[in-house]
Amino acid sequence: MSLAKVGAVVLDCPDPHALAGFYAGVLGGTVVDEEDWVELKVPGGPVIAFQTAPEYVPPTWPSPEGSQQFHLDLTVEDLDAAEKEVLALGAKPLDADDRARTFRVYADPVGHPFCLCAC
Amino acid sequence: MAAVARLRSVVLDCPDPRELAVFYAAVGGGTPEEDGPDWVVLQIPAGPRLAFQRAPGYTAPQWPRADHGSQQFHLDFDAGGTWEEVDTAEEKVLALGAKVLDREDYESKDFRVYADPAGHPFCLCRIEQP
Repeated sequence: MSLAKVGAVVLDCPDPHALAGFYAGVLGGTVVDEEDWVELKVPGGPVIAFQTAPEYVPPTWPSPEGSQQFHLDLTVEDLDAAEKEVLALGAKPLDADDRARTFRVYADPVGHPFCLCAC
Repeated sequence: MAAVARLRSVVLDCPDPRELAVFYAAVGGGTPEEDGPDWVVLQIPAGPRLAFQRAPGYTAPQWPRADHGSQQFHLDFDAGGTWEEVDTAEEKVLALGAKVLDREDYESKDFRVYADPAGHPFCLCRIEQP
């Protein structure tokens, strides 16, 4: 038996509402807004929470000194179509040049790396 | 709005994927499955799929600080509805190699902060049970 249940995956960021809006655009779900803490509830998945981190500095990737520490892998059917949508929502490509590979790496609007995976 | 993607995995960088997956399996349940030497998957029962990725030259996040050592991401665990349950969970995570980062004012905050064996902060939260 486990000793705890995962309650939320929490992302540090400068503006929780703005970043929750980005991930709601990618994953769907409902945004529940508190002052320094915003939750994105996606049916069938874990709560993704966004927390204000004063003087937030984005991770650098790839860099051994600036490890990404955590990232989200997101499953899609069509990499090209999903890429177009996440770029329109404010993501930036980090490692997306290899079009034959089954995944591509992007930064969310505040710089957390995430992957789109067709797997 | 139609979703663009579905959440597949929450992926943690670490120096030893197998070791950290065993820690989180003891905390959250599930069985680590190795997918090569650099990637171990842990499906939490009725929870998210965690993956552990070898990061050469890994440096643990520092906490609390918001500059280059920011925790960036962390996991919140529901450790039960009473402090007795949280105490029991704390005893177990410490025995598994976690370290206390912040236990101050936990009753007003309803959580305590720990570092996992690779140094990622995580919280044990007291959550009113339905």
